[in-house]
Amino acid sequence: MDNKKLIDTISGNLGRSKEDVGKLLEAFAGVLRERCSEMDSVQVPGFGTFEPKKRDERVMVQPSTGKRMLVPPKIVVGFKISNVLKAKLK
Amino acid sequence: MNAKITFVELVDLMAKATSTTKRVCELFLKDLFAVISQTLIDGESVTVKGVGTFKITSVKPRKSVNVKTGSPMQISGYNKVTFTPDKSLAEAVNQPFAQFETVILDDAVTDEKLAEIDKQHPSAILPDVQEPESKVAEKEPQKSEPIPAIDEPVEEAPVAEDTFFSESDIPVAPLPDELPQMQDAAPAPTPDVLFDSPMPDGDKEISREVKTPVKEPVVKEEKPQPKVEETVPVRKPMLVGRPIDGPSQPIPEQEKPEEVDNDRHFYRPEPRNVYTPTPEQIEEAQRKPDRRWLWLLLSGLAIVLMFWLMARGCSDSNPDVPEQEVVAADTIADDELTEEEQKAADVKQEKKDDVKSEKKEEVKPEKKEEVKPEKKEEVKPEKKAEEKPASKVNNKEVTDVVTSQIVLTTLSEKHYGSPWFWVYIYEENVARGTINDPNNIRPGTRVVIPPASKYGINPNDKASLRKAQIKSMEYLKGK
Repeated sequence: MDNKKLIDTISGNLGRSKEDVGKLLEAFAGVLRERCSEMDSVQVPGFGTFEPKKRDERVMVQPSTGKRMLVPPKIVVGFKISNVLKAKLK
Repeated sequence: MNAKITFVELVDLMAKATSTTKRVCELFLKDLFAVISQTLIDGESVTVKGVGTFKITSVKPRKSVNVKTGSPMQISGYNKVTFTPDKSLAEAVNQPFAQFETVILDDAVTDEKLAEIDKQHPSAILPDVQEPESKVAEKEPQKSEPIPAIDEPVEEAPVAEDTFFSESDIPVAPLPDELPQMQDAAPAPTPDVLFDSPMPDGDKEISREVKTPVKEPVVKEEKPQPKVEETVPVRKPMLVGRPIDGPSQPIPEQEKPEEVDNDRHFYRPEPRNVYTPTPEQIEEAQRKPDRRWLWLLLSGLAIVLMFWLMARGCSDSNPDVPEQEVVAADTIADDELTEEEQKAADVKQEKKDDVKSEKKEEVKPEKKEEVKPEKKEEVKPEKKAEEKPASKVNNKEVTDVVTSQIVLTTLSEKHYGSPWFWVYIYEENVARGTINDPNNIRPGTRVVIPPASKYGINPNDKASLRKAQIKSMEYLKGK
């Protein structure tokens, strides 16, 4: 399901225009981006947690060439699924 | 930082961002995640713009052993949700580390080698050690308040003051041993710097509140003022002045700001500006008043040095024939030198012509023409490699040798200024059949370095660099 279809579905459920839903979705993405940039985790009950985590730098060996590379540290957004959804998915 | 945003807070933030009611946001968010969950349960992946992709993958059941009993058991399979953040989200979150890139490590470099380099260039390490001190020196003009000093600096300060009165021009090192550079730079006080230093009253008020642990320069700076006003022997006001220097006390200096400025200007003992430790800069700092002369002198020296290098390079390759020397000088001048130097080279050529006409009348112009082009090609790359190995982009086709230490990336760094352009060297040589595998080149192989223009190589152009990077990644993956 892509973004467009998602907006369609939500606007059908809520009875709001697609534009409105698109703006709300954008706002949610903006809030998530802003909070995660501040290293805050965002919890959504019944769904999961968006949590930024710092990955340390590491030396990686490229399997094909055997060259060693220093991969820089980075911050990635992880998603931890909630137990409720996990149980439903089983 | 590291806070957990709950659903309620999320709704609040969204309501603020969209300027709608919380109710709308709450309904929207609930429905959004319900739809995503339902889609995932149906086994479909969901892509949300600006957030990322939720993908569902099934994990197969696997066999394992019960740790307690040792009996074999089955771990049942399940569906796993993997989340891949959207590019915009990932980049925004990774902003603090965005400037880093993956670096290929050189296996030939060992800890011992690095230690050797450190020994040879101790100056490369020193600046880091000094940094905090120099920062204090920079902050100094703002934090002019008398503040309770750490014991050590205060004890040292009187010594410095005494020597000041006796030998006003040569300050004695006021700082601990760790800072030899600062001592060297100490005689630098120039009128410019000192006139900058008087601080406006507003700054004083602010700076009184800001206190850093290291106050030693500050204390010294304040010393001369009470001295001048009271006209007493040097040491006394200082010892008395210490309690006065408490943070809550008013400062006498505020009453006579102008006088104080002049005095400070005159007596100023402590190093104000700490320059980088290269000897040239220290020299420059010491002679700041006649800076222009120094610059002239330095530029003159540089020109002389360049000529000397040129002359040496040419005479090495061909000591007998003066004609070639001039030719080489000319070609280099065309490429790299400034107009002045070109003029100088012209003058030189005239002289050479004179000399030549006296000595060799029989040398014919045709012969010269024959010799010239060869020499040009030979001399030029040498020169470039000598003078600017890294920054200069090679525009001629040359050959270089691969050794166990020197690989394609090193050659690329040397000739094009960036290691990424090794792909072009590789492509060129594959086309010529010199090498096959970029990771397996026999040491001693002569490879052709193509001219930079042939592949549009420009280390300063990001697009060109990017292209090379993509290419090299392709090669590395393909292998």
